[in-house]
Amino acid sequence: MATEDTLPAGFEDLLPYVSWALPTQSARSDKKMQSSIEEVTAFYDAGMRDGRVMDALRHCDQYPLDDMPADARRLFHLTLSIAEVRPQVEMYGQIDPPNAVSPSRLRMTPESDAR
Amino acid sequence: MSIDAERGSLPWTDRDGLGSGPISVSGYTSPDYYQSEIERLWKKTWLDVGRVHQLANPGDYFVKDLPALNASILVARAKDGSIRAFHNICTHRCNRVVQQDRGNAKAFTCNFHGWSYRLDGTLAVITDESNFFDIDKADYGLAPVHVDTWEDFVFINLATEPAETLTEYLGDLVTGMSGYPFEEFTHEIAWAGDLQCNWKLIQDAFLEAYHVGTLHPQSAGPANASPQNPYAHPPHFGFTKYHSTSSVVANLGYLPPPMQMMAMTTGVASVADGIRLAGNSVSPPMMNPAGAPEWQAELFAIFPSTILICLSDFFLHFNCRPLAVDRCRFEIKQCVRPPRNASERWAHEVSAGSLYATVLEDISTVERIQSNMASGVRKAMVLQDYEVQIRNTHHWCQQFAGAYPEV
Repeated sequence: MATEDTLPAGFEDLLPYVSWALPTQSARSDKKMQSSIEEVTAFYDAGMRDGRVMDALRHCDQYPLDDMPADARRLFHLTLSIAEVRPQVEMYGQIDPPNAVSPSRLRMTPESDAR
Repeated sequence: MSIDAERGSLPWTDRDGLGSGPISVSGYTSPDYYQSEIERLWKKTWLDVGRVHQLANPGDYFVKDLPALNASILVARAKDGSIRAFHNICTHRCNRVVQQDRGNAKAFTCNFHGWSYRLDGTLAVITDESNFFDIDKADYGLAPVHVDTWEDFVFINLATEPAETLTEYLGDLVTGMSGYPFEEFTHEIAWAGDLQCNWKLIQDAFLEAYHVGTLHPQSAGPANASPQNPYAHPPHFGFTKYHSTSSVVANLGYLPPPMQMMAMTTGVASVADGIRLAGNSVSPPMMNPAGAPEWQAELFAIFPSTILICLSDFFLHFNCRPLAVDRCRFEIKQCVRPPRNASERWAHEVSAGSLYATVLEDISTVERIQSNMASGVRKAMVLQDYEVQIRNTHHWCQQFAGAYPEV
């Protein structure tokens, strides 16, 4: 496996979802909106099963937020994607909410997006 | 105690001295009225343009563009520690001086011919100066703009001489929110977008809770509308000068879904969805004046278009600016304490996602409403008592810019 796809040891169960490890909120949102509800639900389930996302965050908590090793940063971005899919899974049960405009109408400002 | 105990038999609109009749839609659709608003309201009132903490050190600056007002305002912390504001216009040939949105600078240098201004706006350098005729640099400083601060907010006023100081303009908000730690909530999760609607329409969307159960049945609805209070009636409204306040209530019976419950365990605030964290007791006089156990936040509509929704642990900051009679620029920010680690940062993401989902739903109505109003089929809209904050905004718009014309 290429080095740019690794996650910290002990998180191999999340490797199938490493493509969700995206560094900006707009990238995570775009990927979500282009996925199927089955895909995001499977990702949500993998993250929420046995509190895996909290395990992942506990691992990342040992590093300063702005100075993590690459594999931990990748894991951290993956947890942010788990948060990103929450509305689709916990609120709507579908990708496009029935009563909402597209996310393209209200974008995160560049400064917020990159954090 | 009933949620309506404070209201009793006197409608909120009567406490505000307002009527109960329909409101003409022309305030949203008339191009002539829009011009009147620009000249008589937007160019004459105090406008929130940024946060004091963005100007922590001498040389810190930000630029706020207000195209509908023909203005680009440079706000900076000068060497003497004061906050100054200027029109971002070079006094040579009117180029834009500062190109960036924000930063830190020792001086402001125009990219056209290199004229350079000090942080206090005075002109320090004219390049090739000897070839000018009878110029005194003292006459060529950046044009100043009135600027003042309230709590952690920076306000400007484009009037040559503002009719009131900022303190006078804000009325009881100054004492009423004293003690709320705005300055701690420096981490801003911010979104922006241009909407095809009059600025007042997107603001209306946040000035009443009546819609929460219907428009947000899967997002904010379950958390804020309860079987006991299905239309999320606020237990209290307040009115001071041009501004209005309301208490936002939560559904105490709301059971958060799994990820929201997980986010709460980090100890970081959750957004307006029925969850309050214990332990952060902030109680300025204007927060929950009715003492309602369902209280979650106090909403402040600061005229003309700033809305602050203040919870104990963080606040939401909305504003919108006109671009045309039927266009506006809308910004929302969730303002929290800076996250200290990955867990806190993640909890903010969960919380921000809830807010964002709700706001995308709020936006869904406004462009349809704008075009429906412009059709002329309906001449007016009707408002119920709990939509009084919308009525208040229309009242003060008309005090500044004139009565809405007949449709």
